[in-house]
Amino acid sequence: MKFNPVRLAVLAVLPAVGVAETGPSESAIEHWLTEEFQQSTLAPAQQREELRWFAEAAEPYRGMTIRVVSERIDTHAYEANVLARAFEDITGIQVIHEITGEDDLVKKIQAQMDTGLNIYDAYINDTDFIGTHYRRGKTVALTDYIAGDGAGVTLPTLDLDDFIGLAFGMAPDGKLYQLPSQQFANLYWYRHDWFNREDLQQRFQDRYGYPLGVPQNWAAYEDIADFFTNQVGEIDGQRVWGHMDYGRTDPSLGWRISDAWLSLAGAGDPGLPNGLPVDDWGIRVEGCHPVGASVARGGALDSPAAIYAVDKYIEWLERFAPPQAYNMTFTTSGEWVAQGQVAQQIFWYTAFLPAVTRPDTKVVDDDGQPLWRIAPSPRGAYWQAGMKSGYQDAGAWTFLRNTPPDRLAAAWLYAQFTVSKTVSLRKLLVGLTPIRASDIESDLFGAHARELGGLVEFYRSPARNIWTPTGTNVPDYAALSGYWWQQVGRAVRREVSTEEAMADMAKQVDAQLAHLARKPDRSCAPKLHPEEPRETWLSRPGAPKPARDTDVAPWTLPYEEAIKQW
Amino acid sequence: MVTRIAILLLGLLASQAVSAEPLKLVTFHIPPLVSLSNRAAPSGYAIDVVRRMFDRAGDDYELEIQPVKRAMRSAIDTPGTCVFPIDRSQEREASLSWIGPVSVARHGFYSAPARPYTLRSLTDARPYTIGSYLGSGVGEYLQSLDYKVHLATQNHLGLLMLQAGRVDLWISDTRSAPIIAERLGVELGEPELVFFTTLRSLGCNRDTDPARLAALETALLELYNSGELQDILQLEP
Repeated sequence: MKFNPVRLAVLAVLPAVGVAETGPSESAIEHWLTEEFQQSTLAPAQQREELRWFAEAAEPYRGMTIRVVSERIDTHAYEANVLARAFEDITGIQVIHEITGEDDLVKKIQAQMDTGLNIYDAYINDTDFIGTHYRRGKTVALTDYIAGDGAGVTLPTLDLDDFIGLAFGMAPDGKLYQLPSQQFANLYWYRHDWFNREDLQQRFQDRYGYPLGVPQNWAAYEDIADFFTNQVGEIDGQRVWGHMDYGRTDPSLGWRISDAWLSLAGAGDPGLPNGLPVDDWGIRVEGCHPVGASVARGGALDSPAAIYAVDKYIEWLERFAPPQAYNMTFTTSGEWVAQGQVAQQIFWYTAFLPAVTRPDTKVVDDDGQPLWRIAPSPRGAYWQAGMKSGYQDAGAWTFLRNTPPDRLAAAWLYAQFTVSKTVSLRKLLVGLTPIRASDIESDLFGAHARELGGLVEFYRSPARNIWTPTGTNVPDYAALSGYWWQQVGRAVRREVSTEEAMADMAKQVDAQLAHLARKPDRSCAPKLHPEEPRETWLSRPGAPKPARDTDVAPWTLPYEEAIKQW
Repeated sequence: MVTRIAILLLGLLASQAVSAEPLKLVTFHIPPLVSLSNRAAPSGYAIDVVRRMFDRAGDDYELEIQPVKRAMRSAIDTPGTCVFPIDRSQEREASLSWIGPVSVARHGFYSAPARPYTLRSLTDARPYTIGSYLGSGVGEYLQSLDYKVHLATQNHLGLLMLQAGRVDLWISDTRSAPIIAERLGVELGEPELVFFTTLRSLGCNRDTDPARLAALETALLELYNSGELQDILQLEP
């Protein structure tokens, strides 16, 4: 299924108002408040005041065109197609807001950092990059900018404390480098209606000896996958599957695994946000210095737990997913569950919620209510209490220091506009990727709880802090992320064993860490730990953990019990 | 028909001796990045960048000319072969090993002067038929978003289709468009909207020696950091 840009019925009736030549446009403000931004935690008078501030602050930059780029999800399509237009009407600054693949974005921000070219004026870059930004010195520290050169173009009502993911964009130096524009989590998704069918419950109980419910560990997930794919097979005359995933050799295969799959298996150490001293990429850190990814250097990337994690991913893809999943990517598979053939998905990005809430999808009932629920993902055999429970993506406004000052100021104004309280609740209701506590706690968002299948409950709970992005241990995300899809891809294609692929990746990551260690301009640079025999590290407490029996007892919980973990 | 121009740069590389066979670099006419004529060797911004990069790395190459789509196929299928300057994208990432950018391109929508359209954002182009060419990363991008894209065999044919009213909009690199229009004698105004940016890169067969590619990449970054490339890579804002 192709990407579906947000449907913008409102645009069909919106004239171009308040264009650049006419100066700050009161009529543009009134138009957008009336036609688009009626859903807000601010009162209309407060919204009007906020938009007037944007119009006045933007005055020196009127007539400029700026370029920003973000990944390909509904929230950013709304920004590109609606918010950029509103911003231009109100401020006279034209914004070309490009939408592209996440890996393409990664390559572009890397190119701007490497070449010094002003390719874009701002990026909505995942905070997985935070380890890169604070080490390379190429990124504007927003904390400094707000207090200094950017003070005059910083929205007085920005209210940074209201952002739930602010910590994700902060570095160990205590400064904010990235301001979230959207957040989505990786959660378990399943067909609540099928799980509640008495006939299916009885068949499951008879065959597996425990109740069909929300799986709490991978053993139960595997049984349920087997049940729907191989035992049930068809529901209401339609082929159904007990598992969905994607496996094409493509950059998105990388983040399928690097987005905390190893930590869900239990490969790293306890400790939030990413595990300490071994994190969810299997990188060991001492102080702020990464010291190795291979077991030989104290990391866990080629540890028994990591191999178990990737083995299970491949095994389930082959045994339980529809055949076409093997050739799918993040984008093409994301909305597949909306076709109504999937019973459960262990690793499902809530960015695709708009696809499963539309009235025309096959996973809502006649009243528009969801036939599905989201719940905490089950954990693997190595997972232990106190470990990270899942991944959360925080696409965040990021500015590079080689951006000309006037372009930086104009882009910062647009960035703040897209997250301002005037527009953020409306953006949330379109894209379902919350960033502000005030929006999450609003009555309006709460009123959608039933149709959102658990999203409201997740974001109103402390769980939103436990599902975390890639952390600060990853010192150069762009340089290291390619290894994931290339090596896991070899294992998926069965060119090498998982053990070989992970061993090769660990060596590559160690080599890249060594390369970065020689860069004179990096703060908190890697300091590689000397190699020791694997058994030495595996016998020490914590990660890397020695092989253990992964044939554990499966267990499930009723949905109401399962979400109490949030 | 494949036009073959073998330009061996033997003897020009004084800094390092290279024992491997020269890499075969396949390129195509895309002025001003690569300009081809019957009377002179290929020239252009991208040619210049690649030449300087290989010089600095002490490596060796041969140039060959093919249509863009075939050029990409050659690099994907044939060891020791690279293609440039092509748009790097997530969809193409796994097919080749990449070095770049050798240029950064802005892409715009052009309308016929007699049939202008007001475009404020990409979504405004959705109702229209858009002309592009086979092998264009931007054409593929718009197709993936379900835009109505007609892919011609070569870029300039899209402009002729625009002139003939067979497409509503033509997409082109903003540096190439006026050159192509002038060569064809076609009147062309400013783009209605400059809507997308791509990194034009060198894409090499996946079996190419990683150390060799790393040396070229290092050389390219050194050129950027020295400021040598800024003059030929001036970007439109």
